[in-house]
Amino acid sequence: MAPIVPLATSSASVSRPPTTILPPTAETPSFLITSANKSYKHQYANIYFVRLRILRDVVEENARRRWQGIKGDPVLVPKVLEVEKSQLCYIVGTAYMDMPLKPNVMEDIARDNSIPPPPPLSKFYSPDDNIMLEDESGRIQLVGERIVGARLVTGVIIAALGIETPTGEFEVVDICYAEMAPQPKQEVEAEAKMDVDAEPQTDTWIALLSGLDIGSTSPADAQIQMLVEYLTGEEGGPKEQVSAAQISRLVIAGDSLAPVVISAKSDSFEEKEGKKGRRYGYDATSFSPHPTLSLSAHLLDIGRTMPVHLLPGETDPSGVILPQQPFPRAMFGAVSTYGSFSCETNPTYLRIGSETGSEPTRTLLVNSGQPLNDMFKYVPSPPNTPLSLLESTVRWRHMAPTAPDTLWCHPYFSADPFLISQTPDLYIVGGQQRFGTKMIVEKGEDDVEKRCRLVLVPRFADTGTLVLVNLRTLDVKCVKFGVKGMSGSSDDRARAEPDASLPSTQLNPKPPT
Amino acid sequence: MSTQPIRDYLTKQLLIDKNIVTYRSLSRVMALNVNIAKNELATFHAADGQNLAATYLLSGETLAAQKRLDEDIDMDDDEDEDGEYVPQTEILLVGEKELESVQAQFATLESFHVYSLSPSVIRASPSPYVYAPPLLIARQDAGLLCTPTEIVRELDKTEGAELATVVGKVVGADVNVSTKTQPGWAGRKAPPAPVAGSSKTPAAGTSTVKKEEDAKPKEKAKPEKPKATGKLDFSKAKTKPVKKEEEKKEKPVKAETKRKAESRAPSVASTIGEKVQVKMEESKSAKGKSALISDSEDEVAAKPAARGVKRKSALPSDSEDEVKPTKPAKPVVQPQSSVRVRKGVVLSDNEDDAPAPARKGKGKAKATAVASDSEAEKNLRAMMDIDDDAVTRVSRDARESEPDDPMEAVDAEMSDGESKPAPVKRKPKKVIPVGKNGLKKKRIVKSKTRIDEKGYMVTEDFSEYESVDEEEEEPAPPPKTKAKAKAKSTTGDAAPAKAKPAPKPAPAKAKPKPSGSSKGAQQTGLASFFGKSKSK
Repeated sequence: MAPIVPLATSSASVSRPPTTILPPTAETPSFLITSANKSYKHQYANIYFVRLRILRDVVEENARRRWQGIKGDPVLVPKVLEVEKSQLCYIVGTAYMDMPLKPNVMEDIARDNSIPPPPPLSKFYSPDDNIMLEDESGRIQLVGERIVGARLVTGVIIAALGIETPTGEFEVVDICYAEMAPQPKQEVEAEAKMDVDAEPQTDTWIALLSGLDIGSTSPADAQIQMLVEYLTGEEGGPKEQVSAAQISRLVIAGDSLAPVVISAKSDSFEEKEGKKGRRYGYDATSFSPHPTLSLSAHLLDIGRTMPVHLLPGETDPSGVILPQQPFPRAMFGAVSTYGSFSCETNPTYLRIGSETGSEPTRTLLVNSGQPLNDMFKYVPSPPNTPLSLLESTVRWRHMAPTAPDTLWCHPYFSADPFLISQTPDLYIVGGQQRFGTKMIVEKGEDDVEKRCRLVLVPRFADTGTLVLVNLRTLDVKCVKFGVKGMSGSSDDRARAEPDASLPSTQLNPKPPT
Repeated sequence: MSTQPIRDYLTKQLLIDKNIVTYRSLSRVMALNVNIAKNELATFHAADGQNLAATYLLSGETLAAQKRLDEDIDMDDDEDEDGEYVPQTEILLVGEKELESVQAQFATLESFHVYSLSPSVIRASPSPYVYAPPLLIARQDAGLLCTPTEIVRELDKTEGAELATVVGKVVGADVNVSTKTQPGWAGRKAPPAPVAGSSKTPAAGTSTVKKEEDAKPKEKAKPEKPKATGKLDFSKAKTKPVKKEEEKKEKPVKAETKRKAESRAPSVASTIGEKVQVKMEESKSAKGKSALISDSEDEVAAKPAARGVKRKSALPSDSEDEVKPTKPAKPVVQPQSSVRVRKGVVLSDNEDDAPAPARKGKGKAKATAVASDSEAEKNLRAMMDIDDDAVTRVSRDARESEPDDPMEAVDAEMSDGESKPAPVKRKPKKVIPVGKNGLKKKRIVKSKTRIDEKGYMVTEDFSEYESVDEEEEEPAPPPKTKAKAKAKSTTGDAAPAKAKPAPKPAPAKAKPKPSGSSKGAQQTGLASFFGKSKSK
């Protein structure tokens, strides 16, 4: 066993690289629901209409380029209902998944209210699904290996190449998406710097977090405590402290608070006992078990040392429809007095620039995971992973295609805010089971490389994982916080008794010289 | 190595109080760098802590992670979607019992220090009723380590930034405390279009800005110029006419402030101050009665007519006209002021609807005063903040002087305005009484008597209120003269118009004229009020 080496205490002062948040642009709009669009009277059809109108041109252009010279010389049929039988052509429209297992409002209405509704399904996918393509004129059913193999969800704008069969279906040979949205040019500059500036100490990182789940029945208090200490730069040796000091911002992507569990009365006794047993270290006189207070305290600890961006998530006390609006600052007490603490909308764009100007401006697209989790219900999961699906959303140029269908969203009238009109440098999705990251690269027409770093941020309460992203190189690393051997199973506990009496002999840490 | 105070503290906490001490709590209490605190804990544990249990913190790359990396490479084709491998640092909190086994899991150990000392092994007693998975139990145990956090937070809160640097917190330069939202932040929130700014954060930002600006005048109230500049800023946003008015306004305000602060030039200041006061009152009353007062001059004619019609259906037309004057009777000062103000009041309403145009046409001073409710409010706030006592004094003076001034002013206006202006003024008066509640109706009874006196009135309605008439008759005479004078001044048109009111059809013109009579009634009513009190 390695002896404890005294830590170097020479406090070579480390400092955090400051970064600034830039104002939103037309391509990276704000998701605030303002008085201008705070109306719930509109029909959701508008969203589909706007989406199709905006993406149709792009998809058509892509389709034309892709299928230009192929045999049969396919032509674009402007309306899906005008497809002629046994003639190769391509059509553009909105994909609609007709799924028997998908929740249906008509079924909800017809349901017998005396029977509790069935629990929501984890998957809508079934072999009986039909894929339709619709535009303003109507719908046509798509069939064929190619379309079934594609991971489509409702609301995606696609172009489909194929032939109408005698039965009136459209046999798809190939499909085409909008592909990645344009990205402002600055990669070249960044690339050049990457080689020259090889000093990793000066890089700016941001920290990503999701799913703190404060207030759950199995709190991850110690991990959160360790997380806070790490972020403030107190934990570990000098090396950890230096790496922590490079973190310039923390983004919390949702699910900070656990959902309130309403327990049945019959369970109340057990529940009480359980709570009593679980609430270790919570002395009501000195420590409030209230989750919000607890969260605010942690936020304050972190907020004293770095800017924090807090997004609401699925389990948070916020509206259920997207875009979720920012938390009221005041609910977080003292930390709300910090100008550097900001509550964000649920999907949100963050444009981060370094104050020194030495690093490129990075555009972050962050959401708390509801769109991805909802889309994931549409596809069979052995071949598909959340990461692959997330990549698809970038190629579809839409971050939440299922939005009005199975994902609740605000009834926008004249816009579809979830369109990705500019490929972000970093696409961050919280509330995931597992960590995952991938850099997707696409060569544009004029050889401009579009790059997007996808990051799935796992739930901290389950994984103890903090994700760090290098703003200069877009590299990713993880820090995992864990607790081990505090007295594991009940067997451990039995054995622990004799051991406890001679800890020093067992461990024998050598006194530092 | 460890100093005596630290040793004492640890001894007391661990051995006597049986508390858990983490490196953080030690560092905060003793104002040490966290790294020193970690070393101190290790030292203490080695030297004196034979019976103490230590918890260690290890960080580095674990073998498991490396293994996973290898697997990923091997099975690359299998799960190509699983993404890239990413270096993962693991930070583990370990009880000393398992330290060795955990240490073995680390491929590279980057740091290793004592996290906390506790009087005994940290272990939660499980609830017998609930099955808890081992992970959960471990978490509960670890939860105990959070108890000293309270101390840490308390000290962080009280000691603040200094302690943070001593302790070794890495504080970002862009972390700042401010009550207002950070400009960049708020700006970012606000969508590009200014309209979009209506969202919460931007709104808050603007409000704070406004407050700031308000605050400035307060601070600088005594030095005149700064205040003026602050107001000018506001005025800039508005139309030019408003600006002028505001400037005028500012002067009085300044005068007041001067007065309060320096108590000089009472004569000049008093008059100006009174005006200001009147204006302020007007603005207040205007706000309160905004519903009563028609929105704009043009609208005045039409709206009152409509209202009058309604009332007529309920009551005789004459009674209505009289009703209006009676209302003002209660607030003695106000009606008069309103008369004088009328222009101003109307203006203020106009401003609400369409600020720029309305002001032009009407009285300058009044217009300025009422120029905008917000302006008036701001001034009010500023004045109140400056010196409450002084403000009240001014108001008293103003009230005393007011009764005379407003009356005179009204008369003067009437004479000046001649035919056209007079009816316009009357119209608004009408409207005011109509708008008020049942109480005003009572007053109406009194007013009816006046109508009789004028002789223009249709007789039928009066009979009901006769008893009331008697009371009012006494006060009535003085108003009569005024009313008549007004009527005369209004020239021939007024007379026919008055005649018209009796028939209910009452076009817009007809009503205003009655209103004119009502005006007279108002004044008479006020006068009567005073006269009565005097006589009695």
